[in-house]
Amino acid sequence: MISEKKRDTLVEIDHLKKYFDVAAGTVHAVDDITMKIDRGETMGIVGESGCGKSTLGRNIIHLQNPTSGNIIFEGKDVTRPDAKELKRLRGEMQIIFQDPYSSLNPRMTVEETIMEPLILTNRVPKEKMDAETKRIMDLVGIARRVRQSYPHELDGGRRQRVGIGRALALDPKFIVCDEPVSALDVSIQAQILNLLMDLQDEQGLTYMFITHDMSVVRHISNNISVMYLGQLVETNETKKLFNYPLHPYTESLLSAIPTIDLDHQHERIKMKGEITSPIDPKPGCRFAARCPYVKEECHQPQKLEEILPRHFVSCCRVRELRKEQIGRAMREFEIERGKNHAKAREGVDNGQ
Amino acid sequence: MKNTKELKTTEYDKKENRFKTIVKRLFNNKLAIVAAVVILAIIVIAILAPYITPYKYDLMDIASKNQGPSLKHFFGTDDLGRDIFSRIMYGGRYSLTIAIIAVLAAILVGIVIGSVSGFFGGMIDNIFMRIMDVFQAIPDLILTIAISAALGSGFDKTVMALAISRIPNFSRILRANVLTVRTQEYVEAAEAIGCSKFRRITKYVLPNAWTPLIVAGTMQIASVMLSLAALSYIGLGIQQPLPEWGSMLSAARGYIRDYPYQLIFPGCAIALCVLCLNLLGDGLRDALDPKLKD
Amino acid sequence: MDGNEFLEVKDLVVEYTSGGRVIHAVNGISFSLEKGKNLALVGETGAGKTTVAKSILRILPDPQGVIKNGSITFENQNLLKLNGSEMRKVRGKKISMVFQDPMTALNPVKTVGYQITEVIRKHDLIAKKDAIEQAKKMLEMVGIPGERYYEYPHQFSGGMKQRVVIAMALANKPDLLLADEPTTALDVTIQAQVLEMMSNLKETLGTSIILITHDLGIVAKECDIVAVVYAGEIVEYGDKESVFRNPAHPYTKGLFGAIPDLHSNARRLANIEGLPPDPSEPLTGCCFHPRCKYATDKCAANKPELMEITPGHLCRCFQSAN
Repeated sequence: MISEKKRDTLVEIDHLKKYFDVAAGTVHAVDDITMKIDRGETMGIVGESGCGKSTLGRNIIHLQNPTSGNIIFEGKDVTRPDAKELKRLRGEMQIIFQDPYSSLNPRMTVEETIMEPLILTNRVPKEKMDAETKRIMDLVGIARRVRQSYPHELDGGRRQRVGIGRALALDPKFIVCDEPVSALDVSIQAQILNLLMDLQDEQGLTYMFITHDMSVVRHISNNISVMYLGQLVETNETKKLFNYPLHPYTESLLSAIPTIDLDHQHERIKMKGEITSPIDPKPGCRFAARCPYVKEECHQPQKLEEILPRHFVSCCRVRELRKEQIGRAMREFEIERGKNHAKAREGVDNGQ
Repeated sequence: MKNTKELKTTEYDKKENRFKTIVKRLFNNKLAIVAAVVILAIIVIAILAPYITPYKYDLMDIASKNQGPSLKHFFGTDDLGRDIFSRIMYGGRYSLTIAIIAVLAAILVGIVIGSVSGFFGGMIDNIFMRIMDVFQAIPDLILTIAISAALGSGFDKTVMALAISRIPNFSRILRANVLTVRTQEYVEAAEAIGCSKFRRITKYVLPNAWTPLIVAGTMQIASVMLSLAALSYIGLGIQQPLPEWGSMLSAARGYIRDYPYQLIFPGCAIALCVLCLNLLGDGLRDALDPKLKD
Repeated sequence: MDGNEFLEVKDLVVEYTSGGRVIHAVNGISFSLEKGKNLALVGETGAGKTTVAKSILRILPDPQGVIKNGSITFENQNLLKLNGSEMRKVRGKKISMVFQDPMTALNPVKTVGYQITEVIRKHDLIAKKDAIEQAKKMLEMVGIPGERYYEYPHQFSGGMKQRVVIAMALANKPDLLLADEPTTALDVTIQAQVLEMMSNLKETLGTSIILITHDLGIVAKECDIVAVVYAGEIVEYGDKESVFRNPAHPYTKGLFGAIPDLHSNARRLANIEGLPPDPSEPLTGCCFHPRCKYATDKCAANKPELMEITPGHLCRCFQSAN
């Protein structure tokens, strides 16, 4: 049996949990998340407010400490690094923030902001810092004229470029992009998205792209993980997720997105009621309170199952509700695998 | 064609000099400017006092004692025949100087306490703030008197007493701002690129948290002047023959019915300074107000 | 634009003065709306769309915002010529507005029910009891149980707050509703709920809606007529089908290209270079020419008028006539 293409996993998250204690109880912000992100890919994390996606991003970057679970980077467990290891990791894993208006120090110029990471580490020797700063500013498209400006003198798009430049200054392998274009106007959004994609191609970066905007995530991601109230409900390749969403929440989410295509206006799939509280939640699927297909077994703790290769869903009823889609997907997968076998055999025949 | 190179744009981001904007705004406030000029004048007069006063401040002329305002003595003389006008001019050296030094010292200590307390939170914050609570539970003046009485009178001891009594105020103000700024994303971003706690405090938090202290400081100078006057009035603080305005008030209090001018002039000097400092403080606060940042 | 319109805005010019600078927010906007139809004012931040809405209701900040020119005719009355008390009769009764941020639109110390009742009683002399009944009915209409009349805003989520705001706006069954980015601050699933509710209400109450938004997806679902606003001017205007299928103005084309849509497969987004112009500096020529791929010298020197491309579809561009 020919195995699949070998995965080059850069970041692996294993049963990650982050709980906060508040006056009213314990907030289960991130509850048992497991995923793998391969080198060079973009993993989109989507969900609505309160789903925990931002918290997840910050925990991976070590801006917060997870309550339990593991983070594995390049095969090494980096969940609780010591000071030296943390310093090294800062050079490998970086973050771009959502709000270009509050993620830059108002008292530092563009140049100072980008040079700061260089000063803090010793990636380049002192004599070369100036030149390196200029190179990064060119890379992200910051006009020469504004390099001595302060953040409040720049517009949102430019500020976000500075944020991107700062993240790149340490030459990281992995960048968490926390809603990097949500605060920008549509035309500026497109500029920044294009920039991020170009940089990924040029620098071989791996992204975790967090957003609530389904259209954006579809555009930029290879794989998507859907989160709801701290739980991971579905993970799949982007195209496949959009073509046949399996989890009821994913299905509702996709149907709610307005599209500009006049010929494909669709009816939204209704969810009942409002979002439930993340404080001391009851066991079982958190979406059960609003799910149109809820049954008794939904209140049992759910497991993340690999329905198809690399396609994970956390829903006890998925096999019965989506028989047809799963069947179709299975067949597609078989055909794909057949093609891969044939290609591999060709390779063997040609003496490779 | 990659759009990552320099943009062909129609931007209008003029290089706006932030400092100039603030100064411009300040200049639009006529009252604040007048107040600033008056303060400046008082300071200049105080500095030049030895050269420009008609008489030396401690020159006694018993024959001319207790005379009302006249052409020879603009503000009259006190009960030892000293020229009040000259003493008022000299007085700025003590009243204003002590007040400014005390406030500066209090701000410095307040910054350290406030930033450490606000940034680290937890037990450290608790301890510091409870100590501050104790100090602030006692009315300002009584506290100042108590510390001053404990330390004794004289220039530096008085400065210390006044400074200590103001530290809780400044540390609270700074701590409040630090608490707000600390949660800003750019401080998180600094941590993400490997910034040490110390550098985060000094380069990211403090520069964005300290501006309210400018205004608070200006206002406190006025308050400290009043406290100093009170201290001298009751026999602590600065004593005769030094012409501190408060002690001048004290010396003349027995004569309030017979020679009221001996109280009016030092009283007005204090009042004028306090008024101008408050107006200047208001003007600075308006000029620095970020809401006006369009 | 025939005689059926019940709202007509003509040559509206609005300026703001701020710290000595004059900001030309609206530079000659004209459009009309038929009763029962929905109009979308589409554009990015600073284009002037909110200013237009605020001008219709005459709630521009005073003294900074000034309507320098133009007329706004609503049900045969020029709103700009009404005095204070006459205008107050219009606001909340004939024309209502819903703002973007539901968090700050409600008074936190009054119950939501009271706030709806207040709006009703301001315009109608009815007994308090009856007003409360009506308010409860409005809450039910927007999908909130009537008993929640007595609750306070902080007890509601963002989506529900926005529904309360909409209930307030529609309590007096206005003829026109101005909705300024009503769902931008909400999650996409809640957004869908709220928009659907607004649609239904439009059917039930016969209210016309002017929807201000930057989201073309919402426009596709909800609106009949589209006006694309840029730098204080309407650069393209027409019914939804015409504008969406044949966008004529380079800016409109740019906007469509810049949106990563669910049904397109382009890898790179066709974006618009540059930034919107500074509203405090008057521009010569076409307002979009500095960013336009197709700009010629003529575009830099002369200002194009709104020209009809096909019946009902207008565009402000010299190139589009071809």
